[in-house]
Amino acid sequence: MVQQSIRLSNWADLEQFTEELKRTLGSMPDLVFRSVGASLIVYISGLADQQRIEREIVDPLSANQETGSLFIKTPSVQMTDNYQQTVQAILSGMAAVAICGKDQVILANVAASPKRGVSDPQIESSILGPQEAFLEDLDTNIAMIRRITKSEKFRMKVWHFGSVAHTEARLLYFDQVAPDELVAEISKRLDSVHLEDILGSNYIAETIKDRPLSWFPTVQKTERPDVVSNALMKGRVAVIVNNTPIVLLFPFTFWNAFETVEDIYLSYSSATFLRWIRAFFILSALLLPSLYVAITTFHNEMLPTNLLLSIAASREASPFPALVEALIMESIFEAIREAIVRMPRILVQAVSVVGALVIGQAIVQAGIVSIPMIIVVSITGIASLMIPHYETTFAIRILRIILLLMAGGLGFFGIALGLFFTQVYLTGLRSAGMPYLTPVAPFVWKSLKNLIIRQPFERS
Amino acid sequence: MKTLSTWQLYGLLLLFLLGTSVVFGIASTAKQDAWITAFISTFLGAALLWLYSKLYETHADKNWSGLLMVSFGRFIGSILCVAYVFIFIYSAGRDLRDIGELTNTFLLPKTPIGITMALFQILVSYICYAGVERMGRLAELNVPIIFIIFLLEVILLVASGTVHLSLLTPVAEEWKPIIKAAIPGNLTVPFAEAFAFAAFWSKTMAPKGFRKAALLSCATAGLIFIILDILAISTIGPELFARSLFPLMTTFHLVNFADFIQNIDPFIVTAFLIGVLFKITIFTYASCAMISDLWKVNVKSAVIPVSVIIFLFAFYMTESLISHLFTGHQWVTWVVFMPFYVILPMFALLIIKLKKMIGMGES
Amino acid sequence: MKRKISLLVPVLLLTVWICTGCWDRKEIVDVAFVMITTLDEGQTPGFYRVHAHIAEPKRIGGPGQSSSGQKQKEPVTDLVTEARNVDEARSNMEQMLSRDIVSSHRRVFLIGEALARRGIKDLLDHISRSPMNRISTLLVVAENTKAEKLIDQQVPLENFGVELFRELSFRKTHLPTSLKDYFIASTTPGQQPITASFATTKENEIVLSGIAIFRDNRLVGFVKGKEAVVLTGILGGKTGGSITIHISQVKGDLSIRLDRLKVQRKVAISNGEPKFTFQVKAFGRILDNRTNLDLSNPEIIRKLNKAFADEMEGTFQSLFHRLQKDFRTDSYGLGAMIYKKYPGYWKRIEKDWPEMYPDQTLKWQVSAKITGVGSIGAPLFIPENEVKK
Repeated sequence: MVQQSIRLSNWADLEQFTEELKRTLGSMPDLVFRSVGASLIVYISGLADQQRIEREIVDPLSANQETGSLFIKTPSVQMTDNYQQTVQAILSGMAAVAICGKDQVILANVAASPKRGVSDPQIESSILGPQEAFLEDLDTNIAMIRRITKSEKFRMKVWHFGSVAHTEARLLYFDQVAPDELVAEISKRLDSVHLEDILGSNYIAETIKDRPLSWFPTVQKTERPDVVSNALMKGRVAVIVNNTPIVLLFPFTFWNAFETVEDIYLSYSSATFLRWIRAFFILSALLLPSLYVAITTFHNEMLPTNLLLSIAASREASPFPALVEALIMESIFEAIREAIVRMPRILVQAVSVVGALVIGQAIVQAGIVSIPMIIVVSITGIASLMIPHYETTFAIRILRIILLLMAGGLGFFGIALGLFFTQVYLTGLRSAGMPYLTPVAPFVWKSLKNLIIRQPFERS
Repeated sequence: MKTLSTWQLYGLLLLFLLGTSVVFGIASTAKQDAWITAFISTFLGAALLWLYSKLYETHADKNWSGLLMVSFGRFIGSILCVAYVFIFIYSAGRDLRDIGELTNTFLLPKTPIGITMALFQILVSYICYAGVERMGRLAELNVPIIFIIFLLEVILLVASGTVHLSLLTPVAEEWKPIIKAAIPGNLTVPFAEAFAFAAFWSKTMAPKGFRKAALLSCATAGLIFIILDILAISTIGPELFARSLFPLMTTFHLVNFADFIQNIDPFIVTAFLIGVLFKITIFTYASCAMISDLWKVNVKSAVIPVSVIIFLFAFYMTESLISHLFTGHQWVTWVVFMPFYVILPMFALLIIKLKKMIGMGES
Repeated sequence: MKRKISLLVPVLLLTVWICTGCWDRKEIVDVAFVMITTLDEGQTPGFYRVHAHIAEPKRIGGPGQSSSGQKQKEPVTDLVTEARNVDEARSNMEQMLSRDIVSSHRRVFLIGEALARRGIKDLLDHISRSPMNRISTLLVVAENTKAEKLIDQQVPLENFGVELFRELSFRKTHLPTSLKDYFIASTTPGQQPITASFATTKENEIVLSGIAIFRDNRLVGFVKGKEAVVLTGILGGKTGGSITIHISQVKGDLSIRLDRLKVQRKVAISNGEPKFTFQVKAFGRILDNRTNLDLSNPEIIRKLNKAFADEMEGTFQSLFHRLQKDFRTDSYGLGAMIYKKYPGYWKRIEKDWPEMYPDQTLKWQVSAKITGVGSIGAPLFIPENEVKK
């Protein structure tokens, strides 16, 4: 649209203004034109709080008609003579007050779009920590963060993207705590985003993270204000986008994926204990099926004889090779897992019964898959649910299947090769410039200590 | 441009030195005194590495190819450079063959050795392509893994109750076999082979740091060798130690902890894989680095052709494991390792020092 | 270019995988596990008769399935073949089975007495060379019977007969009877190997009957009873035998359970002749008192200690008498003791050692200690006036 200036010197101009608006936005039933004397108030009902308009705009204007003074009670106003800006403002829920004779339109912020109340986190739950999660409204989210970190070092940089959705994104950081290079780097990347439709933070995440095509996530997504505050205080930066409760955190190392927010709300020994158990199970989530296939197919000397004969006895009934069994069970498990996420809440109970009983029990009794394989896949499934960071689970799952295939072809050697390839790949990843495997490689002793054990907080 | 930290270079060197010895053991010909040989060669190896670092110090910005040119002049220097390219390729090929043979014997007897070696060499070329900095990080990742495996091995073996220190007696009844095993055998493998780092050391660290990392890793590797040798002899006895083709594998075969952890050779092979991976990678990279210095091309572009040659070498080198081991212990040590990894570097150092003295005398 | 290469790698891997899937894969259901192999002299002279027990997983039934109460037959299949050497026997057996033979779980190698007396050196290489075979396999001898008859017996409490051999040799007595021990003993200068030996009782049950003594890879005899217990003890194994002692002028005897033997052995060269001294401390507990002695009296315990020590010394003497004079075999390793301490001297006498060995005298300094008498002093059923304090 051409940037037009608004002229409101007389009634005719006001009429023209109204026609322009009707043409631009369409004669929509929720586009309201309200005249109060010589002024025209335009807003979209539903986005603007009508009570506030009555109270803060209409009343003062109608009361002061005779005096000619123009003041409205809305606390946040802007003046503009730019037509584009006016349209955008109306679409954002502001009320545009056009007064005949004045050459600037007043944009009053009376937006009160529908939003939900602060609720529990859906994905990252904790037992002993706060139970708040972000909303879709940018200002509320920023308010939540500010409430936790009452620091004067808190800074924001603003971007607007897209001419259609006109989404606002902000970069949050603590001045002098976050490294300047990091802030500069992310700012540079945000500057170069040219997307039109941004429906969620993932659009931005994909365009500004390193190696967007990699399976491994290089940016952290969180829905919890305490996680964001913690990260900001540690010197990381956050990117918050309007209309989505997911906030992006940079940088993100491999090891961040295995830390839960619960770590800082538990005592030192519990947190360390949990960390070790989690690490062990995540490793087994990656390796257990491939190890099972490799050992039973290629290296059965490794098992104690009795265990081996038990497994052999169970495998007698099954017609498939171990690898095929593993693939069948893996895919069934993945299907169940995805289905449970997508289905309506009411059906979860029923379907889990179906999943467990029918599939598990019946498959074994029909002799299609052997019992040890079911055990292996169940343990793997539970272990993979232990990964705190949702996106990393995908990397682990894909990697697991690849390792399974390599184990099926080359046994232990295949697993070792696969793991080496992964290692080399990981050493090359970076997140916002920081090597992906810090602090293990490159070696930073201080941070490493905090990785292995959750360090006790210092007493003064 | 120095891209590695001390810890990273230490890790690279350590994994390189551990290399194949994790399975073959050190100086098995010295029977029950093999650990004494390991002890002696650690000191000799440290001296050798110290010498190499002194060589590096003379021209801190040049790699071995540059140093060769400086010492021997452009013409002979270039010829020697080309010789070294092939020496490194040969060393890499030997180790690749090692891994192929080991896998063939213990893990995958029926898979053609070509496939195993080819896949491994692809992995090696991927790492070389990634560059020195990522190699350093890879080393950092794997050093803890090796340490953990080593600790587990020791604990499980001792806990299986199979260690009898009396098998180490009589100690040192004859010194000849001990010395014979140390020089040149155990000196060159693996300590002299660390000379491969010379081809690209200007990319790693400053000479002082290089020396520190080298000596530290030498000491650590030596300690591990001594412990492994002692364990092996105490478990399977001196004769079996000398006669077995893979003594440490035979040793760990006997782990039987609580009657339930048995036959852990895949873990031992994993430790071996890690060590050998680094060995082959360093040799491959050394070769590519020499080529890159000589012909002014990017290191990355040399990786693929060099890898192919290494694979072909490994495949066609010898017909069987036996001739491979035989060549390794007899022929190669004297014809290849001694002259090129020990004598020439000493010579070069001498020449450079002389030149410096003459140069200083003149001015 | 980078794109193309990164596409090439997975494609390569995929092709590799498709091609390699078939080489080394041994599905569990295509594999036969050998549990135990026995070797006897064959019916044709010069042949070996090899008998292998292959485990049948189907009959084990896996977990969760209860077995019917009675004694079931062992879930194994028998395979018998005769061949000129062990490897040929293996290849014969391969041709009799639908599955591939895997010997990595074979724990025990049983040799019949007749074959052992003839000599076992032709058998030993096969079981150590192949990487599938474990060097921790136990080598045992079947006494007075053909090996294959021994394993036909039903074994109480265990699924497989081989468990009996293993547990008895390994867990209960720690006899150094594995292949590794055999090889170490036969290559150490001045030592000869031993193995465990099993026999059948009259009621057709298998029993650990003693220790088989080998010289130059030939069976020369058996050491049994107390002597076997003692030999196990001084070789580093566990003891548990029952020693009967009695004191003079006291009716009845007591049984001591031998717990531990602490042996300190010394060898010295004087006048060009080796002198062996053994300081042995025996520890035991009295668990059966068939006298009316009151065992809570330390005086009595002292007397019993002396009797215990005397009994032990007597046993040692008779053990070495048997080893030296009857079998003329250095199973304990007196020669090895010389070799380890005086290697130069050993080099000189090495050739003459087999003749020197039977004439060696050993000095025994045995002390014994009874560490416990159970939980009561005098036997509970004897009236007070008869108890000997």
